[in-house]
Amino acid sequence: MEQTTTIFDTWVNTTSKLVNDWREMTEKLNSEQKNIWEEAGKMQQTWMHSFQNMMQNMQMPFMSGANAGVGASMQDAFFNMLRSTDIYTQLFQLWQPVFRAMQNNSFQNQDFWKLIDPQGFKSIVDKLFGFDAVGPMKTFMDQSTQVMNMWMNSFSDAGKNMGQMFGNGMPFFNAMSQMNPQSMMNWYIDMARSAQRSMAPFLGSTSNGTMPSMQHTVELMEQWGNYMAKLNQLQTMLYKTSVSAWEKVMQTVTDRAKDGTMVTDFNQFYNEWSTINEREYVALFNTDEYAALQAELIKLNSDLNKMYERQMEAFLQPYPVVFRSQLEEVYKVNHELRSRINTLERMVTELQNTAKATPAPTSTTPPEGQETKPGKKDK
Amino acid sequence: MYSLSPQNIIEEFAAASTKLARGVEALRQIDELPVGTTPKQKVWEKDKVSLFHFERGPGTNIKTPVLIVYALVNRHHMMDIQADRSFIRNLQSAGLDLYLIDWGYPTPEDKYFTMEEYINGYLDDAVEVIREKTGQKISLMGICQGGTFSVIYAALHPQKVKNLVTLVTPIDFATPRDMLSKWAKHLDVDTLVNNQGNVPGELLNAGFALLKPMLRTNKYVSILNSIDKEGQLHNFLRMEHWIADSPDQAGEYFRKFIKDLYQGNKLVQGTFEMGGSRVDLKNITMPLLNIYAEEDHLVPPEASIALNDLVGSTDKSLTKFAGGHIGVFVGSRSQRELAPGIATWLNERDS
Repeated sequence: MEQTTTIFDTWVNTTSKLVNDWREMTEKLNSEQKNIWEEAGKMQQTWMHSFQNMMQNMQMPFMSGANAGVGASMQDAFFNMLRSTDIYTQLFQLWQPVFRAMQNNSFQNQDFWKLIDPQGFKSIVDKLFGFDAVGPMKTFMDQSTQVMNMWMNSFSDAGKNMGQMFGNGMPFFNAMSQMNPQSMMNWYIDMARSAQRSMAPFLGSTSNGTMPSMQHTVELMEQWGNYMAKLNQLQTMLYKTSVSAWEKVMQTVTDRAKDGTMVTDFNQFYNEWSTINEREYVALFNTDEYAALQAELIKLNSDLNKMYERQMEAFLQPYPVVFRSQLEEVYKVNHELRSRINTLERMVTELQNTAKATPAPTSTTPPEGQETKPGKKDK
Repeated sequence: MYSLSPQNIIEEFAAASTKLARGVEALRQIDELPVGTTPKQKVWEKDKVSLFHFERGPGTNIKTPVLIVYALVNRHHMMDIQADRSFIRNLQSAGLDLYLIDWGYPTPEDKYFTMEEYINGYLDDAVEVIREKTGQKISLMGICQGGTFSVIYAALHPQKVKNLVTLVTPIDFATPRDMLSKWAKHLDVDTLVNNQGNVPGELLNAGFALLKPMLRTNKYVSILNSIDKEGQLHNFLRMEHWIADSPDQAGEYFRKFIKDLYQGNKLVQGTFEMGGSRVDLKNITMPLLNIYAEEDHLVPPEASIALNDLVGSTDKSLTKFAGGHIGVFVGSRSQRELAPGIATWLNERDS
């Protein structure tokens, strides 16, 4: 158990340091706004350093593999198959010293955590809840890095402008020339998604250097720190529950050995391990403490996404792109118009039904242009 | 002495590796996995919502048309996941004339859609289309959240509904075993909707997955044992695809759904309002068949059972079905018993 505590301490300290560094940088930005552009190089380096960490944590931890088409489903299935096999085999590797000790009759219950590799233990819990997400994130990280490099190149070469740069790498100008709003929208969404999760906060401010954008960057970094701190809490909660579950598994294994009902293959062990873990996690998820923390994380994640989006819009302000905030207004008006049309359609139908129900004394011809839409009868 | 031998374990792992390799190859061979293949025609559409009419089979003998209302969360294909495991086909074979409302996939422009527009708008329009076509009242069959919608609709428009059938339907949103309810109570839905517009389907899916946290890993470990059985693998993948196919939720409807139902439990308390009208479940006086799943981890039985005490119907049935939330529709017992049971109940009230 001591070893496990140690690895948690290390992990908590490392994550806390990241959060503190981040906050320090935020404060620095607040106090030295005039020198921000000189700080750019240093910041970029720092950002790159924490990039991978951030990328892996920014995804809501339990979100991998959802919303796919059939083709993508195969990829997800393959990824899930690999991930599950990985957990299965890693579990064996971790428990192997325990099995071996039991085989040799040298196992003592109190030695359990000394035999378990704490890093491996953490890795399994991370995989179970998607905190690792290295595989699916790699492609995205590569793409984001590519986008970022393109931006950085453009900064170093004043002769290039953003339009040319994107024209090289993205179907932006094709869409422009064809006036294809859907393509433009898709381009923007792809771009915004990449930028939200990578360099937008920093580069957004360098694009025009305006104070509001700078302020947004600072807010965003503060928010990122808050998010990381909460995520840290949630992970700790899961690790503690896992420790408790593993100790219960060990107790079960010991009890079985004593009463002669021991499992005879690893699959049986895995099933037992899984059942106990599930019970413990569900008990945790059923607590108000967990529910409150999860809700707070969802809120922080949502705030963070909103801030990224705002920053991205600041960054793209000089370019002919329709922003989501502008579309919001269009959506609202569209919705209102649709509602009015629906109301009018219903009124027309009601009138038609009333007319149908009341026989006209002088004419048998139905009114011109009478609709055949479904009526709202029998009210 | 502990009985796990190193030799056995090595063999187990060698077998696991082989299965994994076979799994990769098996996945590479699959081009498509059709779902929802029971023949049907689109008979109405508005915005992104469509109404389908399933082709009437020779055995269709129940006159009252049935409108199936599925949840906005996930897609209706689960009821027609494959030809030999199709709740829809089974209902058809049992003699029902079936319609289905397909809610579609909301996009960002749909964020302002309200629950009232879904229920008093699209659903009511679909009901009217069927009534116009058939000249009679309908039987409403609501599933999961679609059941909640159907109950609200039946309370607001009882004159249009001849029979009400609900399956795994949440009505009491504050029962002790309801983990989603516990989570929802803490959710700041205003911030979520204000920031994001529509609520991502993957966020909901992530929550559903946490209700059985080990399942995601266990099912893939298990399927490796059947990797060379094409039929089983395909069934498994169809279900995986269905799980992942989770539409985003229109923001304004979701806000009300969470605040009024999950957080306020207003339907049970009799304080739920829609379009300026209070939804009084006592207005539901038509025959009611309420089916719940004994091991439902998404909608605990108590959350569904509550309905029968709240409605004004005198002809009301409560039926327990073995299995979980999805097993009710795709399980082997379901294939034999559920659809014929519903058809018999409806047939007895078809006069």
